[in-house]
Amino acid sequence: MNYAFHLLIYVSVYIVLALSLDLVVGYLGRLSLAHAGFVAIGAYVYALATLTLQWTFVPALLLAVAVAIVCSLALSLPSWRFRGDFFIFITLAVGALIHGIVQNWSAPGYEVGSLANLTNGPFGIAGIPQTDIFGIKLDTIESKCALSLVLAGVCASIMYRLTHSPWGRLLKCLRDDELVLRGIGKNVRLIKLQAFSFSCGLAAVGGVIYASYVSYIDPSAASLDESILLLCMICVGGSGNFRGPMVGAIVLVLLPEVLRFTPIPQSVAANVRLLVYGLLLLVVVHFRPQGIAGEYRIE
Amino acid sequence: MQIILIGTISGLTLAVIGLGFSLVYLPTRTFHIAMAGVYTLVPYLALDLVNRGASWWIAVPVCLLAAVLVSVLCELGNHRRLERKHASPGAHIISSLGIYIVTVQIVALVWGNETQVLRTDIDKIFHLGSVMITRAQLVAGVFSLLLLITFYCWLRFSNLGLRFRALADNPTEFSLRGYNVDAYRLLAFGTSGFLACAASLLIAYDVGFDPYGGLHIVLLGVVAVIIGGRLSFLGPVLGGLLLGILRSQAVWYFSARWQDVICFLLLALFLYVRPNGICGTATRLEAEE
Amino acid sequence: MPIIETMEKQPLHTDVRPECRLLMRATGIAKAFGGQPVLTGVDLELHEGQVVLLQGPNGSGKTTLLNILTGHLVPDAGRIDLFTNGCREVFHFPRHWWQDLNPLDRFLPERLASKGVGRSWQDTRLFNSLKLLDNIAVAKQQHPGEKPFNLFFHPGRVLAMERQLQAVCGERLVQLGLGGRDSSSGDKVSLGQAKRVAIARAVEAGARILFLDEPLAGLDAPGIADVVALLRDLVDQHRVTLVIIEHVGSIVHVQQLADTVWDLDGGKLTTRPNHCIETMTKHSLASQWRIDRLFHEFKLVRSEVLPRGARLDVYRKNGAANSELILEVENLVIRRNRRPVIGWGRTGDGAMLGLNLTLRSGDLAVLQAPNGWGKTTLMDCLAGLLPANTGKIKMRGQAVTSLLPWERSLIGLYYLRSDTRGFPSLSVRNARRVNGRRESIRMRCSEDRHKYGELSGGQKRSFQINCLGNSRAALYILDEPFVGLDGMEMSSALNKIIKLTEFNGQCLLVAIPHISIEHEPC
Repeated sequence: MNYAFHLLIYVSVYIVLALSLDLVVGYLGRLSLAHAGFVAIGAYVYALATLTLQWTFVPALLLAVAVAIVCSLALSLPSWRFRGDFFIFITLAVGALIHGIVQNWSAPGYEVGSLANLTNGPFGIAGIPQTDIFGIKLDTIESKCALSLVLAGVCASIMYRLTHSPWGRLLKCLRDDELVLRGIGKNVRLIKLQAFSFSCGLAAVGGVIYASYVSYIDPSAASLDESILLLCMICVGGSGNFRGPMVGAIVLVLLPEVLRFTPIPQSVAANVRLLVYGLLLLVVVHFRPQGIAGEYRIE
Repeated sequence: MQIILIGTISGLTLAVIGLGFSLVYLPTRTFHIAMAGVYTLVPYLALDLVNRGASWWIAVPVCLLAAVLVSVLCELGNHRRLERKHASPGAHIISSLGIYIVTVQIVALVWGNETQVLRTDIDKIFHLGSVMITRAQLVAGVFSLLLLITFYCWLRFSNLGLRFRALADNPTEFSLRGYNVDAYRLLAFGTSGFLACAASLLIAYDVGFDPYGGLHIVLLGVVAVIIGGRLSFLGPVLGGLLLGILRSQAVWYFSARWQDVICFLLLALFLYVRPNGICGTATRLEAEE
Repeated sequence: MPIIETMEKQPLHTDVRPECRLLMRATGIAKAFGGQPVLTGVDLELHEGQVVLLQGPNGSGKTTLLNILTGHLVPDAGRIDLFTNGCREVFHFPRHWWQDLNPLDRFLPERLASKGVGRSWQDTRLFNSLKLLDNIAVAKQQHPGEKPFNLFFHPGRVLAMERQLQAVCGERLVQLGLGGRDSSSGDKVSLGQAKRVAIARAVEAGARILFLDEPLAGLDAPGIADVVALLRDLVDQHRVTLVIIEHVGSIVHVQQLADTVWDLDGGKLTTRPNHCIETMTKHSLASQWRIDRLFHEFKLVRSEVLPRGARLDVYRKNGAANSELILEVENLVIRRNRRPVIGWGRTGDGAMLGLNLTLRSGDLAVLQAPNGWGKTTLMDCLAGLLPANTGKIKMRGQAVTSLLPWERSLIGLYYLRSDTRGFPSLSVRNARRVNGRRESIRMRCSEDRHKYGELSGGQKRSFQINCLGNSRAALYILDEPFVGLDGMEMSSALNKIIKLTEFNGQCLLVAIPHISIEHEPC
């Protein structure tokens, strides 16, 4: 039974991440390979805030979101100038940069969270305190699951509101024809800034849920593999609408569980999983660009 | 002086990788991320062959051939098909990423996830005046330089090289003049595989290899291309040398861990001030047409 | 057969009222591309309610000027004053680097658009993933729903504005005659309707000055009538200032509207009131194209009127023997974004009627069509760059529809495109080597060392015609080959082209812009 809750938490985290990435990929029309970096930023800021600053859940969450939004400038500013494959490369570089920073900002012998050793490098930050919401400590898995579902629901409804609104309409126009949108007087730069802010902020929320559940965060959360997994969810499930990313998240979270029942030894399970992701990307691009349930074809 | 020499050598290898990337990017405007897969595959193949008793004289050509084949397959099986369907650049990049993932995971499944080395002996050290340099570094530097010089001579002086430059300038016009664009694209991908293999073996011989370093190095190669000028064939060399020297200075003054961060900061600076790179014109690349 | 008709002087119903409010003034606008000057000191003024016709020969810089005045292009020098919003905004060029750092003070299209300078595009450009209604609705300025803050904290305001907007835009669509179509997307309506929605969108965005880039391109007679009616409505009812760029063939339709004419030629602009319609006489236009030369050596064999104002004339050289069938095109239909570019009307069973064309060796076919008709699309398709939706293309009896461009080139097709980009980074000598398979007749040797990209437009065009002259193909397809050439160059180009027909087995298809004023009903 605990296992079901565990899965539910993971599904809700990835739904948040997939929806937030879809804001940029499906609605704005820009592919981003840096998303996992912002998830990691959210998780690390939350971990440091609760560990070293002894903040409770909500303030730490807000701080994590704020930091992620400020860091999203690294994506929105280049998006003003570059598009298409060039922009994808830049997101690759930003993702690698974030990964490099969390991997390397460490110094042996210093306390975790101090300026010299902010992220504890490859060892990660362990022992994140239990989730403390306004004095209530959440120590059972059911309560954590409830929290993650609530947060996922809030994020999903924020996304819904954003995309089914005049602002969401602007995003679709931006994707279709940016120049014409500028010609009717819309401030395209501001729109891109807002889109990336929301996307990275929501990604940070996903990172916070993850960190508060697992109580441990390490640099692998910012790796390219994670970004590729998220992109896979969007490609496979579909982008440009509400259902697609959710379908993708559910399918790709449950996929490794399915793999457990196949006679593949545990040591190579991770490799097989990634191999399947790669194959899925190829299949989707060649045979079904709109994914399982999507609206916008990446073609 | 030592730092500059080491930096130059690593810069030359970066230039080779960057050139391999440019070779595909300029004629076809495809981001050939799968080149990192070729880069990863090659040293494992070499090690396997050597461990089975083959000499280096056999192993290296076999690896070169394998690299060329895999690259050509990328074009034949993937990019050409997407081109026929007039797919967007996003589709090309995602599929290239997919090929990269599949290749790397196959390598990891067959040969394992650990770091390996191509040479097991202590390296010889040469003294050139006041500078010390290992044999592996010397080999890397010399071969990279030879490859680059040969390539540029071919590009500049041969008929095939001329046509290749024409293809890079204007693929549509090139096809309208009766040249088989598909064959030239295969040539581009194949040569790119050749260069990636060479760089991979040289670096693997020096510092070893693992399944996950490929993308990182190719990323640095692409940074070199952008800094040097992504619209010119000469860009990778200039960018590579600049990047190599800067990285080695970073290692000296800060620490090895920060060299990548410095690399990306340099990229950010160039993108802001001079997006077309050293070789390009000083225009600002706006997001509109 | 007369190609041109001279129009009579006709009085116009609007007249210039210079005491009207000045909306925009530009002085000394200059712009050069790669060393080639396009505009050399343009001065102009726009008053409220004025309707201006901007005309000039191809390549004179009309679109460049349009892009500059709407903020899409930064001029090299000059000054623009805007008075649309009551207060005065000045832009000086060249801009200092520190001016560009200020994010609030940049010369951008959205800034000018928010001040009431709008434009339409030649190829319509509606937002295809939006419904027609939303296309107009999105243009509304200062919509509270476009700020995310309001979405979450003032949802009532957003909803109210959205409801009102839907009603207003629904009405607009009804006025445009698209009553029940508000949920169609942009590619399902006809081109004329799409253009009108695009213009309505620009007006809804608050444009007080509307620049129209060839609004009649590609339209049939009913479409033209609709667009002109909309423009007239804008002028009379809404007092919008219009600046219309129109190609010389379609100018007649908008000449009634205009009260001022801007002539752009040689980089300079002259303003004159539109009291008399001076059209180009047969002499000046024909000498522009030197087509009159054709009549001496060639005989018109057949002439076919094509829908939407195009005409195909096939000439044969006097005394040429009749021979081999080189090009056969059967029922060709080409669509772009689901809209048929080549293909007209419908037969009884719903299939679309395509283009039919036959050329024999020794034929010189001249396709005259207005801008936007689809000449380049047709030629790109024949050369293999675009797929055809239906229809067959055969060269010398062999079906070529499945062949790639280079394969078609090898069986004897030579396609000269209208853009002269060529191979910019190659030297001229190398470019020649790539173009022809063997060393050919020398151009002026001094140019051999230069990069091809450094040549002027006219030189590039001459170079291409030279390469053309040295090639041996069966079917030559030339897309507007004379654009950018001056008189002497054009003569020599025409000579070379005519010489191509001297060898047996060649036929040519040449596209030129529309030079006849009369419009056949379709």
